[in-house]
Amino acid sequence: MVADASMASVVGYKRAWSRAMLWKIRNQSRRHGLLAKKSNSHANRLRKSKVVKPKIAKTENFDQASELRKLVPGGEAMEYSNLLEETAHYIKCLTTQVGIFDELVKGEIVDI
Amino acid sequence: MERIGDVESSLQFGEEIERLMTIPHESGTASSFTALLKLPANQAMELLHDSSEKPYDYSLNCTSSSSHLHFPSNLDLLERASRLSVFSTAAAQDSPETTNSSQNSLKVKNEPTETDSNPKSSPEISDPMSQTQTKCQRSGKRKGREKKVKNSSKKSKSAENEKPEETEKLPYVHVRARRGQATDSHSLAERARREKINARMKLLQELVPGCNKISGTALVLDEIINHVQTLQHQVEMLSMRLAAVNPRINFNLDNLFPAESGSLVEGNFPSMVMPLTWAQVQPIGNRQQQQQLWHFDTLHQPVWGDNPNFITPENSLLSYDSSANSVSMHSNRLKMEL
Repeated sequence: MVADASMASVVGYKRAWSRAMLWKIRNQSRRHGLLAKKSNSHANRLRKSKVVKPKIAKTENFDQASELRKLVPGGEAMEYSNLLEETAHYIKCLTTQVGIFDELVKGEIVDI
Repeated sequence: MERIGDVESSLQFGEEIERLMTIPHESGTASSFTALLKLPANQAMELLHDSSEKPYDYSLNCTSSSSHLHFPSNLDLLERASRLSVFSTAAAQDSPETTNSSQNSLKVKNEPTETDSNPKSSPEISDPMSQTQTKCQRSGKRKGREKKVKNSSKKSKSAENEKPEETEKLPYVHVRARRGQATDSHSLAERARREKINARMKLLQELVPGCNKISGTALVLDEIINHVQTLQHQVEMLSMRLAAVNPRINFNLDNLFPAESGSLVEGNFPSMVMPLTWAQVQPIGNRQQQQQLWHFDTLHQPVWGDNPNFITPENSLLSYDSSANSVSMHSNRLKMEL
């Protein structure tokens, strides 16, 4: 959760998946009472960027699309073409993050 | 561009006969005239192949250019010749502009049908030339791909091979209707959407290792899903591993939501140091520096020990816009607290 939060925060609000992820984390942490304050202005901004349910579902590959929607944060409410784009960016981010973590772990082993 | 200079000379068709390329042409209309006119077509294809090296936006260009090898019609060649001559005269010499014009040259226009009667005369060429000039000027937008909507019943053989391209930047989409395809707006929009989806799928295929060989959308999607799941698991495992090593103190989510000016943990000093050093780590595998960082970190662990704060500046690399932006973001946050 932490890694996701940091990754999403760096991407910021430029990508739909990062918005969705930050939104989810914010809600989770609100529920757990971790957040000191609530920010309403941001909530409004996020609400505007929320997308309506997809009007057209591509009929072929419907199962995989739904599967992908579960994986990619915020994927439920995207159209198929946007979903593919978000997936591409998400994969890129995840790959970089894994690389960074790998390096961290390599460094860590020495210290303990 | 030398090619444009070549185009200028190509207006004198006679010399260009020798430059008939190895690209196979439809032998159906192998009259001498079409042989002459094929040359400007070759020029167009060269230009298009040129643009195929550019990022994937133009990949559609490549595919449509290959389909243009089968252009038999005089009209299209004439049209292309006129457009190519526009290159030399057009003011804008940017490569996107030329690619735009070259894509315009792919269009099959119906106006030249009237000029077909005297194709060899240069005044005829100048007519579509002026037309295309105006059109080129009008459509002179970067990355703008324009097609004409011609729901005409007259569809030449060439139109069959022409693939509609998408306009992603222009407010409207002109789509060339293909032979035997429905021309109502719904199917056109549907086709445009499908093209968009296919382009994105192609990009994903390149991103996911081992997807290029798989053919068929379903399997590719399976592979993509598998990859995403794998990556997510990896991140989870590694983060747990790191968390086990670094004691986590005071994880403060307020850091992440810029609208809130929550109290941030003291450990922001490393966030300034980290991005700078991480910039050097860009080619991942620079282990020694990281070890120094770790030592630095363990020394100040009680103060800095936050894993998330630790991770956040590292993830500044993740900002694909530019790492500079995220670094400035971090420094802005720091200024906010101070």
